[in-house]
Amino acid sequence: MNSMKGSRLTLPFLAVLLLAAFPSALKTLAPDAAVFTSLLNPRALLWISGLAKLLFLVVATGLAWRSSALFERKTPAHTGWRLLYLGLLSSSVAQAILVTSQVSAAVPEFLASPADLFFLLSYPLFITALFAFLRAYRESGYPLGTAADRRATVLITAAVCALIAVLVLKPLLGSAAPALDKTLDITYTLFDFVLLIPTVLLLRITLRFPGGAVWRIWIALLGGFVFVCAGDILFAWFTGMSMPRLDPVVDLMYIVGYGCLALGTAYQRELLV
Amino acid sequence: MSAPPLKTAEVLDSIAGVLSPYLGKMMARASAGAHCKDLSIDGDLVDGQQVDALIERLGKGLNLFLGRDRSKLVVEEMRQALARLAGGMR
Repeated sequence: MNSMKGSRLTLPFLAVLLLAAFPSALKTLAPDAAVFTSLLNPRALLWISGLAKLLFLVVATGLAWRSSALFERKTPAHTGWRLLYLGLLSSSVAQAILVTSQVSAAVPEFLASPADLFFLLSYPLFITALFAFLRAYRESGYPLGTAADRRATVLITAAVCALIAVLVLKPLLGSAAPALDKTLDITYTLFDFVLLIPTVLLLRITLRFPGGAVWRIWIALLGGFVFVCAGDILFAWFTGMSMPRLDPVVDLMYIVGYGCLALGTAYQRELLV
Repeated sequence: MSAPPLKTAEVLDSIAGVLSPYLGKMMARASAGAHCKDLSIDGDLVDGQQVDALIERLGKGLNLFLGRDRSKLVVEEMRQALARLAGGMR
């Protein structure tokens, strides 16, 4: 079926993603550009990045929900998509709360807000979703590598995560940030590391499907998780190192991450119908 | 009268051709080959029953990635491709 070779969704989605990410990218590369005192003033930046993130999350939530209905019940794929949908829903609620607080107060950061409850709730849902997808891959009967390969991947990922944890969390623990903020940053970072283990395992499996529609879906979805984790980890690191000027980098990671999640769910939906 | 046996290599090529847009060329070929091995299909020729068992196995795997509706369509595509192959051999 030739229609599966390329997707009509790629270009429009990338165009929207580039448009949404452009202000944060520009702010990262040229933070003192004149445009940031006029058209793209801090309030405008808050609106653009906050709403872009919310839009991508809401789109991903809707598409994941609709996709889950098209998988047979009681299969790991159905469970995985249901959990992914719930995780995205929780993140959407969190982002909606966050963007409302940010825009109404014109402050970019709100640590220890009700949004954190929903963001934190999304992690166990995402982690169990990815483990359900791993089970689906295993049950498919496709040649996906040996158990020893998977063990080695887990060990290497865990070792890298432990190294990053030391680098990121050490300055954070020694910083003057309030105790609750520190606790939240540490919790997010640790959740990210747990999330990265099934993400890397799935990425490794996905690389065995080059060029197919399944590859496209999973590269986008897993890439999304990698960017979101990078955003969380950088946020914790910048907080620990007191480098608020680098916040646009964190924003950029989240926008690209949520955009990729939306694209991955859109690819899956396109394949199912 | 049962269907005549088909050449295993040609069956695998046909199946891989149908699966490639979904699984990629490499995995399409590898998954068809792996299921053949599981079903002990190792000769040069494959009979109708073995082909059915192979398609059923591949369909179950597809179900996990493509959902029930699309995987049914792909299974049907595989059957049609093999029917054309059998027709061409006559």
